[in-house]
Amino acid sequence: MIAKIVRQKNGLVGVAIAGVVFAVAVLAPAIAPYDPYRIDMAESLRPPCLAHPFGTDVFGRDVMSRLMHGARISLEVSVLSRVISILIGTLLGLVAGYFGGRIDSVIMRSSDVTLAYPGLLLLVAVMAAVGPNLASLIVALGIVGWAPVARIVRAQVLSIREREFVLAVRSLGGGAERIMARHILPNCASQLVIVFSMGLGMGIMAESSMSFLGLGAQPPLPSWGAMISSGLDYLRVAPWMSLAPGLGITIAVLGFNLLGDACRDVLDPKLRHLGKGG
Amino acid sequence: MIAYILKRLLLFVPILLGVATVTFFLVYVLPGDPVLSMVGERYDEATIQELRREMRLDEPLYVQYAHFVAGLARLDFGRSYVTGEPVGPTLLKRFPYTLRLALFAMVISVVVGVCAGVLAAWRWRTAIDYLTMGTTVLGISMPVFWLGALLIFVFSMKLGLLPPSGYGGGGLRYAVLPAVTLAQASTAYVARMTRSSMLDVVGEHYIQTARAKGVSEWRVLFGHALRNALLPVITVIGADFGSFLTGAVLTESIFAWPGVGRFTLDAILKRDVPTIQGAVFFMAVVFMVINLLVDLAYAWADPRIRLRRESAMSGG
Amino acid sequence: MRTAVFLVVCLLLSTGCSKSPPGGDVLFVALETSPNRLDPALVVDVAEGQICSLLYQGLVRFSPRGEVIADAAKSWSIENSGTRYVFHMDSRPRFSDGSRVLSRDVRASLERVLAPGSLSPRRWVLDRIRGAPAFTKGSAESIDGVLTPDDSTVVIELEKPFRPFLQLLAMPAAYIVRSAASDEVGPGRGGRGPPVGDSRRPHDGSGETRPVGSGRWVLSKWERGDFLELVPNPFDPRGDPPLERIVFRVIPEAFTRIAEFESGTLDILRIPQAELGRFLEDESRRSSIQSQPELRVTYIGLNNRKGPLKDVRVRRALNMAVDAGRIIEVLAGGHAVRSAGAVPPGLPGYAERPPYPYDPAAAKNLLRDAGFPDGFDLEIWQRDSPEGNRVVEAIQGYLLEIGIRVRIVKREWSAFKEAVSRGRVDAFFLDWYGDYPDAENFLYPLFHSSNAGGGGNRSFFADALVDSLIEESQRTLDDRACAGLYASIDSLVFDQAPWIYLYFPTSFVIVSPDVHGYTFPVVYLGEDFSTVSKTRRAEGRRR
Repeated sequence: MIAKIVRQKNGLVGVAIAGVVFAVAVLAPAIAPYDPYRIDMAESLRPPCLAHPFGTDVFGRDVMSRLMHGARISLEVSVLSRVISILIGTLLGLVAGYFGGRIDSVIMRSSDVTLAYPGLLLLVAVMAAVGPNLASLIVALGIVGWAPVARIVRAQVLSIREREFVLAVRSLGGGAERIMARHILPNCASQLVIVFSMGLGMGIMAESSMSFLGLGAQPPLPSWGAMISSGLDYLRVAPWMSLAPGLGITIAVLGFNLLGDACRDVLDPKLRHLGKGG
Repeated sequence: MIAYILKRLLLFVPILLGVATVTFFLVYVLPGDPVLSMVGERYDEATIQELRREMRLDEPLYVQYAHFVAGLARLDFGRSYVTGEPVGPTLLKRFPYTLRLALFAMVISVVVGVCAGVLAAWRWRTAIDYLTMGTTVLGISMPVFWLGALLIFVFSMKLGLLPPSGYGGGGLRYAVLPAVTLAQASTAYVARMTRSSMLDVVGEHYIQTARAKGVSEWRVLFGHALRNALLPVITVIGADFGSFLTGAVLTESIFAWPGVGRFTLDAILKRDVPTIQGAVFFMAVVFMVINLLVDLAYAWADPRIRLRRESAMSGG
Repeated sequence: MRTAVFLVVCLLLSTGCSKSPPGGDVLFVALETSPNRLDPALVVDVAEGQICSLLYQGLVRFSPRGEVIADAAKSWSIENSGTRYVFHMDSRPRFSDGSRVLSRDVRASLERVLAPGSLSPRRWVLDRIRGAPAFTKGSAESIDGVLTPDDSTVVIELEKPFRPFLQLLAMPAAYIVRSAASDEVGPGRGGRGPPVGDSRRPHDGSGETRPVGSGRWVLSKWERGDFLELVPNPFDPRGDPPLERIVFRVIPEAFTRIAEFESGTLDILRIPQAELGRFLEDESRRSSIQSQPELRVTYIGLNNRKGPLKDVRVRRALNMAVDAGRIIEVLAGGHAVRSAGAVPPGLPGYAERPPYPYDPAAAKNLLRDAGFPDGFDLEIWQRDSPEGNRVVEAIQGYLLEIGIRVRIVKREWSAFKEAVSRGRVDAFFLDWYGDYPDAENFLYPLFHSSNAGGGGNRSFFADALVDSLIEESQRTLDDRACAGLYASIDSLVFDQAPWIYLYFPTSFVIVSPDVHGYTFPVVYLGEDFSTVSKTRRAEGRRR
């Protein structure tokens, strides 16, 4: 499967970029030239130069090192929150699809409510309620993202439920959990992979948006979104403070979006007309 | 048709109730005492207690909830903790700003997106196609607030052509940068959608027929192909319009645009409970109404869907 | 389809009629926050206070230089060693409905603030009047200490002498509003004045949400969140001011304000911290810039009752670990005065003393002596603000160097206030604005033990000697003796390091060259725009 993905043009670029981002994130502590937390006011607002390829911020911290550590934060949040979304969504989607009836109604209406929430607002409200910090953001993002996953899983379940081999197992007296786990779930796997990969880009975007608003990573964490927000006041005198992390987000999201597209193209070409992910 | 509309409208009620309830409990949990927002630097307990009684904050949760739901039914969201003004009318006053921005952004995204998509489809698999599609992927990947900052930096600070933010009393120049920023992702999706839709259509028979009949390429593209290709694009445009109207939080923030999105964000950050509840409710209504209209438009435009509507409805 | 697009574009263009930059005698001023209420008994913030100072009069007011000058009262005398103030009212001022300002209006205004059930958060301003507490509790029908022997005389008596009392009367809580019914009046009983609720309820039956004032200006338009427009009070006996109108525009974002100023749609701009360097370096602008050290002290309050912060050595160590001078240089462009006390420069009682030196090594030693060789964890709470964010993050960096791991907690104002005032917080970033230019307004609320918590002393500092000295200073009428006393109190407190001392900010304002007669006031209530004029603008964008 990986080979097929790489063979696609967008897959190749996607894997390359995502790979680089991932590598940077993992290796950041080793390869970052400076400590991203150490302030040095004497070096405040230095423009990009040999010692600091992306300049320094208002506290004298090296922007490039912070950028690298920022990759860790972005990936951490998006991967973990995606996993949570998939766990919750899959469970609820399975239950809804398999048992149908009242349970199905309740779950589907709940997903309607979640989806009816305009844009970022649910996330904003939750983070404001709970108190902004990274762990809460991961959980909140994960919870808020359950609805589309559940719908997809449920659709899969509905289509598989009546297939012959399932009926066969049921007539043989197989228990509900076994059927769900052994037979239905594996068939959802490719859908889940698509959902996961397409949502990673979105997760990075959500984390940076929330950190931009001050409701995600707290200082001194070098989240890309927070770096942009604190750089805005200095846009005129030190544009690199905001422009560099923005570039980082764009490239990372680009890479993961391409990767997600490629996964989707390979695993379920029928979905190609769906412009949006997750 | 009527039945379908009624059924959908009926569904509004439980969903809206759900949204409102979730919001109610969320803001209940918000840390921060709204009474303290209203008093100054030095205050005494007596004033606090009085204000609290005034705002019914000392009553048990279920009583407050009951008041809340009763108010909902009357579409009365109470008065803002911050300004003391009734929430409903304030929202309605802010809405036209968001609407204006949304319309502008939609025009941009439709015009630019469709043209780009047609161009890419026409020059399929050439450099232009890849360039256009590359740009659109970029458009989807760039964070909205970054593009905004970039635009401000280039067009306002460096070139001095456009004002950096604010509503500025209605001048069109003030709306350009925020509208472009808002339209960014949408333009990209519209372009991609148009392109793939055009590609599907261009292979159809009636296109070949038109070409054979000697109709100019221009008319073929814009007259015949586009009209049919536009169908799926409508859903994208509609959904995007819905999100413009409700989700413009980031854009409105960065450009200080006095619309509903920013208003809601401020309310959340200031713990202005009645405003939060009212604004979220309002936006959910708008969102659902737009979705309904889009579905109806789609159904009306495409006869195949109209006929299949019965089976689609039961699937919910 | 094309026609549809064309129509939509036309629609957009038509609704977007661009306003040409205004000329003439309209002054445009920016407000950084949106005023919510304009009832002087209820206002709590700077924007609201500033507007109120234009719409209402007090018995006295602040001049741009911060002195107390006559307003509705043309003269006064202080008798009985400072417990009796006799005001003789000026017969000329008029309310905006033409009626005279009488002593009963003064009494009604004071009563509505202190009345039981009044929701005024500024009762403390008038609390020292004799009989005020009883009146507030409802056990007295009127305030004993407020007497109106005739229409143009007001006598106010205090329980104990309080030197800064005259300045308290220049504050919005003491502004004069027109009493409700002019017919139901008799000496001693007096109309109560429009009831003070919050601005939800209409006050005088006219549907307006604020009482009638006698200030130089009258509110003609108010688009909440957007702008307020003031026009001259037609009944003001001093005649029309040079300006035709003042428009206060609500613009919370700093770079929008700058852009508006540069394009000529804003006349007076308080320069944001991040842009100071750029503005001040510009030769052509130098002459239009005015500056004023603010009546404000910025600090990190330390909860003197909590954990390691109970130990004065720890607190001093924290002061020595932070290079406040560098912070000022980098973050404020050098435009702030390093603080080694709480009393701002310019006020009697301010004294220059050596601040805590930047010495991380010595700080670490102190920590070790106090029993914390490995440092400790500290939470610093703050409200979200661009200036605050930067300062606290820098401090976080500095404290990390001596082993103190800081977690920054951002909360909005009410949550912040609540937690800090209840003593649940380790440390907090705050500034203290003086309401009136007297050191008492800093030392008493900030360090007197009776004000622990909500009263202003949020570091829970308590020292018996300091308490008694502060009380003595409130009674001392001689200015010079008082100044000496204030300086001593400030020194004593500084030595105990209840705070991490940071700086006294300096504010810079740039005024359009078309505007004349504007003075950047010491107290924000002190400029009434009555001497401000504006010449017609030449074409072209201002740089």
